[in-house]
Amino acid sequence: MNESIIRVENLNYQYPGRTAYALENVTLEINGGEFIAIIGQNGSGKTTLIKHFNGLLKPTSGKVFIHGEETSQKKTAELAKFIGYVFQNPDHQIFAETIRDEITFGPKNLGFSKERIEGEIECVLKEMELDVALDEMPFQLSRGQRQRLAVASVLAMEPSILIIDEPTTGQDWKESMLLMNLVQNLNEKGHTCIVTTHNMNLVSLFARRVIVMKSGGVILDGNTQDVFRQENELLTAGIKPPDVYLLAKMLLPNLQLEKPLTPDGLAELINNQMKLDLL
Amino acid sequence: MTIVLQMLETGKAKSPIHACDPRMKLLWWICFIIIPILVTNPILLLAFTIFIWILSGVAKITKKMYQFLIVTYPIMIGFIVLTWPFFYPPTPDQTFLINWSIFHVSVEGLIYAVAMGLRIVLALTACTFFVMTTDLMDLASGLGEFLQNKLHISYMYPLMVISSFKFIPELSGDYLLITDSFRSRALDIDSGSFFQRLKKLIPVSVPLIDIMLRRAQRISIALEVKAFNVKNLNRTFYKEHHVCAKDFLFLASGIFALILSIAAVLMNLAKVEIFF
Repeated sequence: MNESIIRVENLNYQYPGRTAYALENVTLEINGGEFIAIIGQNGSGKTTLIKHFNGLLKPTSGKVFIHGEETSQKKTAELAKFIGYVFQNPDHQIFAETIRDEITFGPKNLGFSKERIEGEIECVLKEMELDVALDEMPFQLSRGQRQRLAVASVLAMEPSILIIDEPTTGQDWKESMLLMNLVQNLNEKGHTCIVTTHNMNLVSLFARRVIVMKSGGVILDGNTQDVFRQENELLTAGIKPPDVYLLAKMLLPNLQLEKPLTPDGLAELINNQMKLDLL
Repeated sequence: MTIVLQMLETGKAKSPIHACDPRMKLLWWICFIIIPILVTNPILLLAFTIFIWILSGVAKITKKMYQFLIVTYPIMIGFIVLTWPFFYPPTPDQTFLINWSIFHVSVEGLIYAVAMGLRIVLALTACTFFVMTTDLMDLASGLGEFLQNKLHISYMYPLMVISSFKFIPELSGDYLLITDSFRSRALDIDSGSFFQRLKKLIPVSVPLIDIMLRRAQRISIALEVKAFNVKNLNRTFYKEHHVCAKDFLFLASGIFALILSIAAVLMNLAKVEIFF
């Protein structure tokens, strides 16, 4: 699963009628099976970048390749079989009278057989832990459930790459954790997962690679711990490292070890330090 | 949708005409809507159209107006000019170019068709000029101020208009997002026949309506919590509109054109038939 599945080469994008570039000279490569968080301030170009992955936007200059095929030559509807894109607001995509119709919309567009679609419904509802009646109206679900239904309806198309734009916006911690755990499960099953988010705690808990964007360019790209260590660069992009990282820095200022990025990691580190002090 | 948004944006530009009171511009526009109803004389219609184009130079919108009208002029007038000669009632004294069976095309019919086309051109130019020089929100606000303070009519009605103007760009943004989300689920919205594409837009309309209703509900709640009361006629206005000399001068140009048209009607010079 380590082959390159998304390749971006010198990507520049200018929205029609605007003078400034929304993306400037972005070059990156994403391998199969990665769990990536794209972070940055509002207007830094996160959504503009991921909209290039499934062809919703076409480069002003530069190239984007998905599985070796250039996206500018493909329609979004064609790329949908490779890339599932979940929008920030589930209400922008939910339209059907029943949950069944909502989930089967994408697979029908891709021409899946009836048997295959039936199998998908069961599978995605289980994967998204949606315990709902298939004939229920999607609009009656809670915000968190609607978000998971939006993911389920995209997953039903069996994409190998899953892009989720701001998955936890407007959700409580429990729902956010539930959704992110489900996304992590999908990643463990082989899906390449790309999320954009402002929640650094979730990034530190789930992402294995972080891409930091600022003013349309990528300023940092690396594994999560390495990126969070670049505090000054993060600050220039208006990003504060996760609370647990800052707490570790305050509690253990002379610590030369790798900084912990999860509460469990921090607790373990403090315990170890205390044991050392006792000795 | 983009053209409409661009036109609305142009209305917020800065120029001596943009700075005029929006209510005076509304009256000016009404004058220029009445004129093509009264007048069919192509020379008068052409003169008034040229006058508006000159004003567009003062308003610094000539290029943008041209970009819009170069597309809409042919569409709007093309049908009239091309079809009208065939429906112009034939009489023996006409000079016929084609006179066969039910098909009659005469020089008089052609002149009449051009005059009809010029009526549309004048009305269209006046409308475009008005929209491109007037901030419609400012107009609604100015009218609201007038209705409440002079006629004791609730601000609710102009507020409804203002809200609908605010809805247009938001609706446009929502529409683009929703169509993108459907494209992402393999719906090929852009291909197929006109009816096929129309059918594909049915699912898109559901979330759009849902979002509009939710937004309307949110706005109504926001208004209530900010003490908006339909029956309150003592509401004050942050921006007060005052009519001054330059506003009257601008309106005078419209009234003068209207008086000229009425005079032409009274002197039997307003009709295209004087050329026959």
